[in-house]
Amino acid sequence: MSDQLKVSLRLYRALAHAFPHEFQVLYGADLERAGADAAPDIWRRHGVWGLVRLLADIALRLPAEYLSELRADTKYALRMLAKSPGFTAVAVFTLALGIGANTAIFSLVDCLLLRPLPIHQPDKVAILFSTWKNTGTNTTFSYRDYVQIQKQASGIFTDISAGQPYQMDGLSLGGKSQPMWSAYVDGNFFALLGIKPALGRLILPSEGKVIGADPVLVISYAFWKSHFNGDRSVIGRKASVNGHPVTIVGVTPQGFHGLSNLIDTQGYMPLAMAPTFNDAPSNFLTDETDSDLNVIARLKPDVSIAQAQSALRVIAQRLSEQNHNEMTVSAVPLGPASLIINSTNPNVLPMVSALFLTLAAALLCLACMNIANLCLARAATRQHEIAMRSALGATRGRLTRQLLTESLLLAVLGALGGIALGIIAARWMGSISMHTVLPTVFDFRFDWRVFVYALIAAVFTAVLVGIAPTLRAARANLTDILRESGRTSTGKRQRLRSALVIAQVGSSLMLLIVAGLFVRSLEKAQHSDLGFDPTHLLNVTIDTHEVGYNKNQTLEFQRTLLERARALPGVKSASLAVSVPMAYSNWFTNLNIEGYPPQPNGQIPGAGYNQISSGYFTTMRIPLLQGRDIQESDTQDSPRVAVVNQKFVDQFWHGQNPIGHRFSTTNDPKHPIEVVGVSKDSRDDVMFAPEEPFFYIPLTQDYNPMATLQLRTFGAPDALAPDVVNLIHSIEPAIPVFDVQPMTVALDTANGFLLFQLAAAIAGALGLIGFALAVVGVYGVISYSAGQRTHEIGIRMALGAQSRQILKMILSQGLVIVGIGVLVGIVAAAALGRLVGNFLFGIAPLDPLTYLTASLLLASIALLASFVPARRATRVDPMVALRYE
Amino acid sequence: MPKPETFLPLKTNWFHILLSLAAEEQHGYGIMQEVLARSEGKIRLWPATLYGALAKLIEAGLIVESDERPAEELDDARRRYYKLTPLGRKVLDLESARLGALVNVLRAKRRQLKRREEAYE
Repeated sequence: MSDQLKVSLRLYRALAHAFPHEFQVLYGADLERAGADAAPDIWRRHGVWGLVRLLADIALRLPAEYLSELRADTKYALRMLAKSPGFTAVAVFTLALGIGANTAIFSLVDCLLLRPLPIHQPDKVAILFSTWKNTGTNTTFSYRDYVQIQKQASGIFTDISAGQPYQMDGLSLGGKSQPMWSAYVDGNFFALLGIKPALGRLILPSEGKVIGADPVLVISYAFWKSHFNGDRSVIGRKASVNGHPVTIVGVTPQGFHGLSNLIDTQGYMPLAMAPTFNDAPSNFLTDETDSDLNVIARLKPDVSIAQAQSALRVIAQRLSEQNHNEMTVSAVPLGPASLIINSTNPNVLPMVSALFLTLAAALLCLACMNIANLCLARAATRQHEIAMRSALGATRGRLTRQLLTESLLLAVLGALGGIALGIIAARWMGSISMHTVLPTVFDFRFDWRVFVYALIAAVFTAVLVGIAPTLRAARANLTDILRESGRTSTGKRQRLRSALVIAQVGSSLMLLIVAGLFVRSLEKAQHSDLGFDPTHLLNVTIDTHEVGYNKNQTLEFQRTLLERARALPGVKSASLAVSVPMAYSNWFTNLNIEGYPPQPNGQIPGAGYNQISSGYFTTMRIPLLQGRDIQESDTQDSPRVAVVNQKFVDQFWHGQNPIGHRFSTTNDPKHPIEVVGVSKDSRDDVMFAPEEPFFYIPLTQDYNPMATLQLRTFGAPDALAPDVVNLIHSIEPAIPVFDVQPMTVALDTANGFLLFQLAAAIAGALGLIGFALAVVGVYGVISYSAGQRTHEIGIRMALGAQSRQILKMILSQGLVIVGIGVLVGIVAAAALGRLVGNFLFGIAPLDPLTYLTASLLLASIALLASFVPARRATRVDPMVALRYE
Repeated sequence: MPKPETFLPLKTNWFHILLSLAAEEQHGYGIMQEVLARSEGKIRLWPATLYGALAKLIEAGLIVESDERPAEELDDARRRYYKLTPLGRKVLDLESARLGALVNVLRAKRRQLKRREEAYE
């Protein structure tokens, strides 16, 4: 025999042994012999190629046989699932809930954190932040600094660009005016991002350098669709921005929303058009104090962000010397929400995400445990079938595969249901109003990441759910099972099931406690003293700059508006303010304060502020503690005055009478402001922040074209809205009016109650689902074990046991399970408490009331769930029970 | 039981296997040898393909494993023998008839052509 033939036969035999077990039992020996018999003839007739053919034939057959076995398994599994529709329905629904909650929350995380911006190589684009040592605040850059960085950092970045993003402009077209959320960008902005226009052209690299030279406008795809119905003739159309002529030249590509995925930047204009369109001084290209440029940069292909960081350190040093102010510059990868994250607390979004992903994962585990329990119960009744099959020659591996196929099938069905539920939940979350005129984009799309996540969740579930009963089946002793005829419950199985229920009660309680904490926190936030009275208050925002008013026109408009609004029937008082509490625009400035010595750490004092009209404190019902209100007589020509809050006094003039003290802003040191009154502290910024020093200055002395008219009404504030809008349009028909809403609604912003409401709603939903699952689990295990013990109970009763004793026996089992579960849950919740604590308002993460209520609620319902089967057990007729086989 | 027509047209491999079992029971290797001989060495049923097909034919109910053994001296007790089921026989008959009909069509066309050529001459 030749060597080739020998080697081929050995290979052939090895392959023949690799066939699925069932195939091997039936055909294995014949297959092997047929090959051995035919091989010499094949070798003689066809030579080496014949042998290759022989091996290829068997090698190709191998996967085909496995596939057909999988098909058979799937068919069998489908039949088994169809045979017990109740079990299947409960299991699939439970899984769908678990996977649905997970995919919904994951799609939220995906949208906030993971999904990259739709630009060319987004991982190579970084956004730069400067941090000033003396104030510690993250800020943007002045044009001069930007140019310096451009010059000095060309070694690490292929391109550096800047934009003055995010401001509300008014776009007028055909006599109608509408607010447009827009950005002013340098010419190379779009080239750096590497995006192509959907229509027309984008801003060109040659544009944006000369003040007022390029009056062009690029609009976003979403804005084009929503405001122009996707009309292609929009290109070349003449329009005006804040009353200045402009030509629409292009549309950005679909899905591109600017430097953030969360808010759609609707219009882009060349950077050097900003002074023209905003009637601002034209020296912003040279003024180093005017620093509101977001700088983005594309890393060179071989430069990492860490390398860029060290190069920026050197550049920051030079900039510090130039600015006589120590600063650092950091590069942060441009994420979907990096603009938002970095301006506040860099860890908030990841922390929120981690928390809710943990909760959702706990819920999925709960669902898995429930199904594992169901499967265990089912495995017990199926033991006979399994024992039979293994007696008929099915191997352990074969049975394992069969059972895993079944649970995988369940998981796939559950995943499909879960994805459907997830889409519904994500849609709901996406439709939540942020109560703002800002074009928010909550695009909880189901992209591939979400699908992969759902898939992993499903496979994880299948394995977890399938493994316990499978191991049990595989370990089971055949003869025992056949002899036992399916009665008795072995101690081991009971222990495993009890452990599962303990884990269920524990994780359910954890979810419930967290939900309780969030609900209580929402309640606390809503009932907390805001320092002003939000009821019977209507807000209407108007921006005269959007119809091209100049300063005098605006002041005249604001004066007329106030006068006529106060005369409206149903209005108690009216005032104007630039910012609304908990809204998205809050102003902060650094100050020079007379009598407040420079701090040893170089920290410069600062305070939040608001520009208001007369009558503000009356309208808002913020008590005035000292001095006087802002009055009509405080005009642009009269001396500068301010009302400060108590915190301001405590911090800067502690123990002194502040009336008559003076301070000035660092931007305008030549105009000192005299304190004329002190107000009680009132919430202005986010709920989480502690009360800060704050001052109020007359709107007439710090001009701002965008202001909110606030009306204190006698009746329901909504009812007055149409009258107010009519009134505004009777003064200026073209002016856009937005954010018309009662103050109670306006508080539901992301800075206000919205996050509390969302957290409470999501945690509450997870908690309730988990609660229901745990109750079902406890009921299931107790009623199963009571059923299994029918025979034993019969004997006990025949021997004279009272039904009370039986009840006690069964109930005590439930009591132990629930008791241990509650302890586990409390420990788990406390462990999660540190993470949760970051998002709570007004209550401690270990709030005893919440822990006690949740524990009692869960324990009592769970005990009730075990009481029902226990009662049933006591009703057992001993004669029937003893006959029961 | 499925209708025999649903198996038509029959896969070539299946047809050859059924054909080999038409007269008597056979084991797998025997089927392989017979097909090879019948086609004068042109058609070889490779072993794994053969046994894969046998498994499918059993599943489809066209053949069964046979308990009867052929004459003592020919018996190879270690091998499994297969025979046609009534359904398998029916399918084989139908397929043969189908192929026969096709052959008849071809013959008729040949005759027509020949007659036409004769007419021209």
